[in-house]
Amino acid sequence: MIRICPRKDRDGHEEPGRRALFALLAGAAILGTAGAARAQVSASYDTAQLQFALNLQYLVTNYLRVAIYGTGGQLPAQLIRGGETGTALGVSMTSGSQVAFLGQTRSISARLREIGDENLDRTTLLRSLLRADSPAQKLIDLSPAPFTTMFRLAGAIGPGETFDPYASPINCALAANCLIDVQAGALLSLVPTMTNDLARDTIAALAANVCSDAATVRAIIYVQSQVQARPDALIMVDRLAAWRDQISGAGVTDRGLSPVGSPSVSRLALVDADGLALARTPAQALNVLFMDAGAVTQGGFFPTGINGTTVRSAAN
Amino acid sequence: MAIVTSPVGEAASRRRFLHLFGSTAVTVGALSALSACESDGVVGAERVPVPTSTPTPTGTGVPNGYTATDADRLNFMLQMHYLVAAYVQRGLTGGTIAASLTGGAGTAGTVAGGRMVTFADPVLLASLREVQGDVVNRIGFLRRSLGSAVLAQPAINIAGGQGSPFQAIARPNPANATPPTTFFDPYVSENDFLLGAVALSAIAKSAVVALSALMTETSRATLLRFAGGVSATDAIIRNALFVRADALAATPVAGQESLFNRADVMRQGRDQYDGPTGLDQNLGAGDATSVSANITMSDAQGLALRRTPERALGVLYASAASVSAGAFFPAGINGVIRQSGANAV
Repeated sequence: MIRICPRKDRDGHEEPGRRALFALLAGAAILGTAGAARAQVSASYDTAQLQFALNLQYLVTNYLRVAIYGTGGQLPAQLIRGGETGTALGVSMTSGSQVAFLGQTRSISARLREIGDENLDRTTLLRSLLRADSPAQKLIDLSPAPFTTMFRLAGAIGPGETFDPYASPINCALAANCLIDVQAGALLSLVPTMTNDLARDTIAALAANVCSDAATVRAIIYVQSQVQARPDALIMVDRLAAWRDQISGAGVTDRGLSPVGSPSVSRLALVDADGLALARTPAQALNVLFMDAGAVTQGGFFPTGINGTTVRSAAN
Repeated sequence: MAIVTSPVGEAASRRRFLHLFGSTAVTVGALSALSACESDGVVGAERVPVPTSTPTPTGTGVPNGYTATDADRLNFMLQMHYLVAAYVQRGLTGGTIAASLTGGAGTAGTVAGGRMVTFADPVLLASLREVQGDVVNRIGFLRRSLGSAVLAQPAINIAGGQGSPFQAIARPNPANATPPTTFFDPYVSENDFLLGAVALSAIAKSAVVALSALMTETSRATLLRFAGGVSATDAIIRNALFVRADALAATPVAGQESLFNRADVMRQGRDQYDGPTGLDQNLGAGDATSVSANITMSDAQGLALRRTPERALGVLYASAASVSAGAFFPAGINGVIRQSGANAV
């Protein structure tokens, strides 16, 4: 029987109402009989959306946790397999290495650790909603190579330069920004299409916090660009955002980071002119993550694609 | 396909946003009819348990129960935004937002209390200008979406100090507590202003996220993005305070209390008014050797903490008992959703 996280929140308060609702959604009352403790349950709601969200979780969680905790921090076997019983093993993320966060960069590592840990919680949550419909994690390449490809495509580095997302705290934040901005936009796009009221409420609250995470990473880069006198970091984000927007086709899906105006106004929030967060469809998200403007099923961070229902990028 | 280059301006992109709710009373009436078909029509509250005690309204003509329409929800979000905008504007300039952004039906009021803060940190200033720009832009969005259904800014009190709304939510206040000898004034320093901003933003975010998911299908996608924007604003404010709290924890200054501790005491101040479940959290913790962050307030599943409007109003009216006015809104807010819940623990 799946564990419905009967933990307390950070301040020690139980949330019985929400817990009970989850027990209803993920547990026996809706999905099966209480007696079938080890049986796989394959009647999840909004399966396509939740599967796509889980693939995003695989990407972001593995990156942050390896960067913070080092090898061994990646998602374990039971959180990346297909379904619940272990017959469809996932492909463990083996690229990446621990970032050296020294001295005064502790405010960066603390915040990235928070985001990584909460993404682990969200991964567990999505799997508890999908249960047997959880897609197995396929090969995820988070080595410097695909980041270098992306940064070159965006013009964020020169054609002969490389980008190592594990080389420094600010590089780690730049890489996290590339992943989390896409995660936030895609979640905002897929949540409204969900049909189950309770699941939608839940993933809406997840999406809101990912928007918060995105702003945190952008705030880290912005402040570090000032503290370390690294205006180039802002220009890199500007170019990466412009590239993501361009490869995602029509519509505004992204935003640069350099401040604008006089007096100076920062651009930490990924929002439009109405102050509303920017969205991109799952297929558009795959354009970015596969690093391909065409309709393809693999590339970039996912050399063999992803599992689930939505697996193809848009033809832009 | 262009990158948004400015948080303000861009008239062209503004024009393409739909008037979700039209601009006529007829449209609003049609929405009211639609709302009768909603599955979430918990009369009297937005998916919150019905209070067991009988509320004792202090205002006039306040319904004990209501069935919220999308327009009611947007107007509630608008009332929350009036408060945040009034606060940040006062701190940045000493003034108020444009009168053209505050009119509408209901009982209009003015902003009392507060004053301009002396800012020395250009990075913080740029961030707060962004915050205010986005909050005002969202006010514009809500007003355009509501059309003629828009409700006015009510009387707002954002004063600090003894007997003020901010003092009322600044600390837990059990009956046997020693009365304070110093009082919270968010306008005395950058750090104090951020503590006040964290407090108001926590309420706004938790309520908006809860309400946005309840919108009917036609406007749900847009309002989820709205909630995402509010969440980003909340993160900007919390990051700004976190960086300062971490710096002070790493290198303590004699006579300055830990900002992590102060933020947590204020968290407890909010929690006393919104019911028994923990709907708020600290900012993290730190000392000279280590620090942990809690920028994004999350439950054990990584989800945003959510307040029903009744719980949010409990904090903003600074009352665990059900009332319809108080503290930051001395005459209550405008709209069908205006009475706080019976939130006594």
